[in-house]
Amino acid sequence: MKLISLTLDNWRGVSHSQIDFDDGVTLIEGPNEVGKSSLVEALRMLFREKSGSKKQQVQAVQPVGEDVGSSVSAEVRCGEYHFTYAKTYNRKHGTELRILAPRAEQLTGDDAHNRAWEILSSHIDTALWDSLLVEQGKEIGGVKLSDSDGLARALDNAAGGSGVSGEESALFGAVQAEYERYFTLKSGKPRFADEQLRVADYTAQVASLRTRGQELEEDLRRFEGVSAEISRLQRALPELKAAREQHTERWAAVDSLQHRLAAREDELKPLEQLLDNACGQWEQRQQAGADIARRSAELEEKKNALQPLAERAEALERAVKDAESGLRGLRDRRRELWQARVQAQQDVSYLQDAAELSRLQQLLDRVQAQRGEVEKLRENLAGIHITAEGRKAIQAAATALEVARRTRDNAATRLDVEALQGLELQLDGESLKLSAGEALERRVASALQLEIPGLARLRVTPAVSAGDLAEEVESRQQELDDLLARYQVGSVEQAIAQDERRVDTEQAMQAARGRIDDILQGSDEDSLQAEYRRLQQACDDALAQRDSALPLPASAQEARARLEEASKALELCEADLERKTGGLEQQRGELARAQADHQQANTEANALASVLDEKRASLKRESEARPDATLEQAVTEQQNRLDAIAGELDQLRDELKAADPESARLQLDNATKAFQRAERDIIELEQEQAVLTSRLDRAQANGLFEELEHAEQALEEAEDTLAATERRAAAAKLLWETLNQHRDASRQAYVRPLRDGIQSLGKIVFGSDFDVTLAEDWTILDVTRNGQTVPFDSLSIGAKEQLGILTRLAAARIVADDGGVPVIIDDALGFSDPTRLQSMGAAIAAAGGEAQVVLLSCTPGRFMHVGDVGVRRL
Amino acid sequence: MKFIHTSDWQIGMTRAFLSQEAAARYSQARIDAIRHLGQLAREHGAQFMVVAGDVFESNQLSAQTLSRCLDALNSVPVPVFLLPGNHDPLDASSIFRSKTFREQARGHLIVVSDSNPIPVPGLVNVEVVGAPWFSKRPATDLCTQALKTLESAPGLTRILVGHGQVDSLAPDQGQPGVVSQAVLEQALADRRVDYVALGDRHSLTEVGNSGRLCYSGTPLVTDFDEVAPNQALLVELDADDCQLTPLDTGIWVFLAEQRHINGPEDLAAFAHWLEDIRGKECSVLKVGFTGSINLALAAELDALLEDQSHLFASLKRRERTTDLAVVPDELDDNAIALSGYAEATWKALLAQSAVDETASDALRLMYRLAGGAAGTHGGRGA
Repeated sequence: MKLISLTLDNWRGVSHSQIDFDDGVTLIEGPNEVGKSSLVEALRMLFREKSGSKKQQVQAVQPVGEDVGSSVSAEVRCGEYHFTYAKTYNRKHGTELRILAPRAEQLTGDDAHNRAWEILSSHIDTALWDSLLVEQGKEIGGVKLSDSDGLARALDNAAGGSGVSGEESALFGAVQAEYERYFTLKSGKPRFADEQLRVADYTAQVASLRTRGQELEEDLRRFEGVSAEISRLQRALPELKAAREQHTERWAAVDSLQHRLAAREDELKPLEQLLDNACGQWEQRQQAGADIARRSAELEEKKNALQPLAERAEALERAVKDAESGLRGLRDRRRELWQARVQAQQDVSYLQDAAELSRLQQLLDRVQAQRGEVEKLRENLAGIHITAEGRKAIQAAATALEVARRTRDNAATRLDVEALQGLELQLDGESLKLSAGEALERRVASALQLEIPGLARLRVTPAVSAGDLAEEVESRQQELDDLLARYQVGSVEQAIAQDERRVDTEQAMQAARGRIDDILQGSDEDSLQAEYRRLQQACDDALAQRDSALPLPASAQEARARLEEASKALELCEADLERKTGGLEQQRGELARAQADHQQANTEANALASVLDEKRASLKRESEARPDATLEQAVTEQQNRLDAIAGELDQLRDELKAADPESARLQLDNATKAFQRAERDIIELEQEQAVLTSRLDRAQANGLFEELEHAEQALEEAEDTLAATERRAAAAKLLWETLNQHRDASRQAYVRPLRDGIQSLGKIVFGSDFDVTLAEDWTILDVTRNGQTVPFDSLSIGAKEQLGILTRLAAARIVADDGGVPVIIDDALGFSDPTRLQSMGAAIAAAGGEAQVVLLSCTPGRFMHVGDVGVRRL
Repeated sequence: MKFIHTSDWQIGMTRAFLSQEAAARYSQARIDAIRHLGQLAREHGAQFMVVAGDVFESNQLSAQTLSRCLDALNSVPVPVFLLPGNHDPLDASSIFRSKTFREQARGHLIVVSDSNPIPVPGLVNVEVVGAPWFSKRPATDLCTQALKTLESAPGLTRILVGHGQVDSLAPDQGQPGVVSQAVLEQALADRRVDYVALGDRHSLTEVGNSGRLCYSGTPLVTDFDEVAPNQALLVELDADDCQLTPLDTGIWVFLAEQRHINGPEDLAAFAHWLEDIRGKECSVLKVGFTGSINLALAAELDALLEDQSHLFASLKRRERTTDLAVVPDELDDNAIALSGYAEATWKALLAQSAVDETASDALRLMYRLAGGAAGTHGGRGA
């Protein structure tokens, strides 16, 4: 089949579109929504859907909002046929087929549709047509080609097969239909379960009816048995009755004898009572004597037993007294030991205290010595008033005075006198003698008067400023003097010396205090003192309380040894005391019991004696009232009367024994029971017979036999039907399986040409070592590239799509000689890279040499590598 | 004096190999036979009828069956003596004592319930002495027992009616219920009885050579191995003469056939044979085939049997005696055009069919599906 042209009018969004197809590859390019996919849809619909179809998919092609029919028209060459085929859907729908060759023909309506479909399906494989169409948005991976008869035929040719009639499909379909009459196609489950069920049902029904039949047989047998038994029993009944009467008579004789015997025995009973009474009285009298004798013997025995009990109590009393005195001694000893231990304890304390006291004494002495030292130093300090500040002030004042003096002196008028010869002179009243050459120098601070006696009086008066300086000196002097007076030192030097001494003394005092702290080692002296006094007191008290006769232990160790010794002795003593106290308690208990025993025995003896006295008195009274001889005689009399009647009874009993009442009774019972049993058995059997009769009547009316016969007949019919069905099913199954087996085998042989086709195109795309493996249904199992084999499913989407297209192209090439089907690829290869697109282009071009290929693309340039292509742009 | 001797009506019997439709007609035929016997009695002037046991197939029949039978029996114009046999013994569940029987049986139906001689109503000096079965397992020879107390009575014609196998014909003579032929013949010789009407054998059989000791056979065939069924005996007793006349009573035929088929001519002969059978709707056939045929012939045979089975009351293959090899030959190959894997399948099945019957079936099926059987007029053998 070759598409020549396709025209669409008012198809979805496309108002008008016409495409002329090339023989080889036609590329239809156009943006989205321009109606490329509508071309594919219209082409499919043209052949598949009648123009009058009201299917939803048909109605969907009507342009939105326009009340117009949608038309598609195609010019097609198909085998020897060349025709144009047009359909309008929805509004003003219609079909027109115009056959141009081999004979002109024109049809409309359904005739046109049927004729077009007939031409198409007789020339192309519509299944393959569907497979070779890559529709937009549909899965584009693997291709299912196995349903295609045309491909099989083409492949068979390619595989060198001979005489393929193309009717296998029809046969295969017929066999499949036959198989499906008996089995489900998918799971192979039998479809004749109802027949099997029917057989099972009838089998169960027959079994149940047979069981009922057997029960009926059983009932019949039982009925026969019961009837026979009833007549046997009825025959036996008179015999049993006679036997019962005979034994009844015999029993009557025995019974009268028994009555007489019983009457005699009744007479015997009061006599026996009288005899018993007499015997009783006589026995009582004898027993009273014996009782008195027994009691007096018992009393004697009790009395004898009293003495040892008293003796034992006395002995125990003595033992208790001894133990008590021993215990008292032990208690005294314990007190002594306790005191000794207290003393030892005190000694230990005393010695410890004394040692502590002596240590404290030494400590406090050393502290005291240091205290004296400190006191002495303090006394030294007492005469010193200078302080570090004082000293600094004095020194400063001294310096200031000196400065003032120097200033004054430098500023003062100076008087130099040089003696040219020895002379005497007076200076301000002071007589001075100067030898020759000697010189005198004076500062004139205030007016000065030099008088060389006799010669001259010289007066020198300084300027006024000299006086201010002098005042300054005086002021400074006054300051110094004040300071010295305040710190009670005579001079500056003395102040310095005293201050040095103060510093030294203070340091010494500090050292002495440090030593006191060292000695005290953090303790408070007062508390040590208190402790010392306490210990002193304790030691004094201990010595005062202590028995001076006892020697004081030599050392603390000895004291502790003595304490330990005393403790041990006390412990031993106390253990002894405890043991002996326990022993005493026990002895006291024994004593109490022995005394109680004695008391008890004594009381009992007294009680016995009193009872005995009473008994003796009582016996005496009774013997006086009824002497022993009277009682004895009464016994003898009663015995004689009794013996007489007993003789008579013995005779009667012998008679009865001879009559054998036991067996007479047994035989009567037996005969009675046998008779009754027979009667009862008859009744029971008759009841059973009645039950059986009613059951048999019912069964009789049920028509069980016929029911069984019918069930058996139905079963046999069902079994026959099932057997026939099973036989046919087995044949159909075997045929189906064998046919499939051979079809698969032949497919396997067909696989090679398709594989070769895919491989030759694939080499262009995937390289020279490309190879594929196909399954029997022609799907790709795996792919080998660059020496690596991978399953088809694990390939990338792009590779899957490319292989899908290659498979279609290969299939189209194979069938190209044989009918041929165009490959239509709608908007594919979106997942392919530029290199792949290039090689795919080459492959498509190669396929286009033999098969018609229509490419639809919205991406300009995607198929630019397809060399030989007619491009149509929408 | 004339009477009809019949037995083994086996009312209520069904045959499992009959389809339900045929079974219903077969059952009806048994009832019809009773009316037919009544008609024969009238035609031949028989004065009464004895049924020597197994009137009923079982004591447990549906009220419907019993009612229909009684309706037919009531229409018989002469007294009918009904003897309980091994199938319908006079036990606690006896059909003769059932409510339906008691209510619907008319006075001329006489159930032989003991061995006391029963005078035949309307006849002088004719007595029927029966040996009825009281259970399915009689402890003794019931006929011998019935004859034990029977004194010879000159001037009286007596017919002994018994049921069971006579020892001369019984396969197992040790069975307690087997009838002593010698005792019967002695009784005939002593003229204590004048005719012994026996039942139990379904084929009309004369026992011994007294000419007065007979099995009448069943009035309607019940099995394939019965020699002379579908008859009853008209007995004419005169002072010293006993005339026996078989009367046809049934038209049903049970046939067991064995055919050898090796070619189209054998098949044609078989078809012809079938064609010639009259009363097909009352014919029960089972046919065993032997021989070797090709697929085309096998398909034809299948079609023939399929077609004819609609005509016959029953037409079945005797699987037990069928040994028919179906061997495809060139003619078969030419009849269908196979190629490719279909041809491979054909060859594989062909190889297998020699040893595997299913493969043979599959081959025949394929032959048919491939259009090979299109020439024959058979449908698809479903």
